[in-house]
Amino acid sequence: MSISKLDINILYEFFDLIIPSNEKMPPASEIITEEEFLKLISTTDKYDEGLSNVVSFIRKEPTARVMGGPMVVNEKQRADILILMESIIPDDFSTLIETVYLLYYSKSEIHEKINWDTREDSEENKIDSFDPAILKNISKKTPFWKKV
Amino acid sequence: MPKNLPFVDIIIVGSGASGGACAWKLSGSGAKVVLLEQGNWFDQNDYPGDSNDWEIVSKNSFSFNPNIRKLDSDYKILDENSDIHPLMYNAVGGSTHHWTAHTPRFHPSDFRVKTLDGVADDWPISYWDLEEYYDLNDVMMGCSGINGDPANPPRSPRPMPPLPLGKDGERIAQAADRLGWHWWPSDSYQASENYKGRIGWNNQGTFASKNKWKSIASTDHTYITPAIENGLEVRTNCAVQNISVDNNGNLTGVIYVDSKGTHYFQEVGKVILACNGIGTPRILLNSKSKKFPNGLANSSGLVGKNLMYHPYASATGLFNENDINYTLGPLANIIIVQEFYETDPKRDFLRGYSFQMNRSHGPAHTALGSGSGGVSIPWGKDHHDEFSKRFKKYLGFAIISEDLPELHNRVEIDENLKDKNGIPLPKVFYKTSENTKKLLNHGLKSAEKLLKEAGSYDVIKQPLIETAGWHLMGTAKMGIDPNTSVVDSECQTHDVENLYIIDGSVFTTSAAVNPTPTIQAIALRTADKILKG
Ligand SMILES: Cc1cc2nc3c(=O)[nH]c(=O)nc-3n(C[C@H](O)[C@H](O)[C@H](O)COP(=O)(O)OP(=O)(O)OC[C@H]3O[C@@H](n4cnc5c(N)ncnc54)[C@H](O)[C@@H]3O)c2cc1C
Repeated sequence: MSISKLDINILYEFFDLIIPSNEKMPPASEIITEEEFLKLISTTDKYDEGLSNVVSFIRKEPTARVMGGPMVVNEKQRADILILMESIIPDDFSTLIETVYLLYYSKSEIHEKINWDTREDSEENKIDSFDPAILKNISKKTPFWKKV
Repeated sequence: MPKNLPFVDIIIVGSGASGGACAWKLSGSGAKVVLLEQGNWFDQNDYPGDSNDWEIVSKNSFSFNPNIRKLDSDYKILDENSDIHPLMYNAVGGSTHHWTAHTPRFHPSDFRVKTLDGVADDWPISYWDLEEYYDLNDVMMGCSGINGDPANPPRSPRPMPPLPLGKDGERIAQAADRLGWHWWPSDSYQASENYKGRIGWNNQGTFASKNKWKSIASTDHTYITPAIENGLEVRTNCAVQNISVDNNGNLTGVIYVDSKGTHYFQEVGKVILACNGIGTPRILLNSKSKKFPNGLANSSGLVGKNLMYHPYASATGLFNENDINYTLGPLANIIIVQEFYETDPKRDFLRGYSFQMNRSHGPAHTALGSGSGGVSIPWGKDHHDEFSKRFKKYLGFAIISEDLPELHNRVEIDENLKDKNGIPLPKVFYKTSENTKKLLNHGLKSAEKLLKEAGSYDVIKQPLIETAGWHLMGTAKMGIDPNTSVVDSECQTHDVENLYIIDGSVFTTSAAVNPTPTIQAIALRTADKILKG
């Protein structure tokens, strides 16, 4: 993976614009640890090109350059960079979104908040067995497969 | 020089849906049968379904796409020229490790497309030739379902009751009833109750824990393990490079490479290819000789041609109610709708389609738009509101279209690009036809109608799912005439005696349903024909 520590810091500056906080949910940077981010991008080369392009886009973006780099541009300017990036390099932008969404929504803190309970024995996950009564109407339909 | 190995009666190459079924049927017959598989055994403990990061893994090392997964057993598929990306898994059990196990059968009419609609070709066999093998496969793989579907011929009792429809499935069923449309609980090779040592599972909790992994049938446990008990020998991590013939074109053996890079020549009486619609033409095209300069069994020039995928579209309905959890129950083995299955002269396209109902995904996949037209939840200040509108609140239909065979849709090999075993990479060319576009468009409109009838307030439509190349068919067509087909009605190649093909490559046409029960029925029938001599 060709992304440096500084690159990761730059990307982190954008995480909370992608998933901000609200009354109930924490922002992305609070949930996604640097270690997890690094692990995700180092176990596959799938994200290499997209994330490198995202970082170079940010570095080259005139606002970021004029202001002395992405770490000092304000929130509005960073949001504008993302909007521009989404329209100019949509595939690379999707790569960034995939990493952030995957890591954010795979955390148990988030699962709890969105009420995502995968335990088979939980009351919420009960599902009734198939009841043939539902076939009452459709069973009256005359067979219509072609006899050839 | 490859190491010579002593003669065996039968080699099966590939241990997926077809290879596994065929191996079981041939095992115990007294013949020495060896199964060669380029991948390894799949360790149930590697299954990531009950970990929090399951959705991460499923986008990476457990991706359906070998070009993303890049495991040692995978080969790269050059698919830049294909509208649809081919998917598969390479291990003992093949792509049945990844599949959904939605298992409808072909209709009798699917074998007679030329007669009925004047396009493509009729198969040289009929539904009725396969019926007993469909039945046998249903028992071996374990089919959950129920008889009485008016869209299909009556069939043998299903070994298990259907998987639950859930409140959302019932809602769709009632909506279809109101429209007067066909629907039926899906046949599925996922065990709805305990079956032959497998634990029944209705997807409470959505993702399978490790011990539920086997509730979805894969041929490593349904067929290959019992076949080993009958004397089958399985050689894993063995990638077949090519098939050898003598100067007269008689089959002599196969050349394969093991994980150490050692080459072997396995002398053999019969070879059965079961490497799927891409892997099989790849081996044949790489098996050139003086007698067969264009690749083996390719005198018709049709090896690799006529690739069919079943192009998919999807329509996803969003629902308001909070009383239904749309993630609960199997992801996609719920309901099949075949109201628009046959050709209707009033429509502007030939052949037809099925709907396969599917449900909401987990949170990360929901955010990324899986199952909802690939449309991600927007980033930024509205993100959480939009997420809660979608999460656990969508269901949809995959529209499975019949894909008609076209010569320009094809698999070739690239002699300059090879995998780690020195086998040329397959190159895939595929363009979606005008007929398919019209058909999918019609499908989207009817899916929208059904979803609205079921109460959906908004429908997201995806006209062609590029990532849906899970059905690989047609690249070594079955037929009577050696000039216009590769194998005969018993799956033996016209050109080379004792060389058989049993995977989806042999499909003459594709029908508009998932193909695997038909692939396996053909594999079992071929084995039976070989046994009966
Ligand atoms: C995500 C997904 C979902 C699916 N869902 C469904 C579904 O719901 N219903 C349905 O009917 N179908 C479904 N399918 C399709 C189904 O999995 C395939 O139709 C079926 O597995 C094909 O069987 P096969 O034997 O032709 O090939 P595969 O099962 O793909 O097996 C081929 C085997 O050959 C091996 N092989 C290839 N080349 C070589 C070589 N050179 N040497 C040695 N070994 C080799 C491979 O490693 C592999 O194990 C799905 C597929 C995917 C990927």
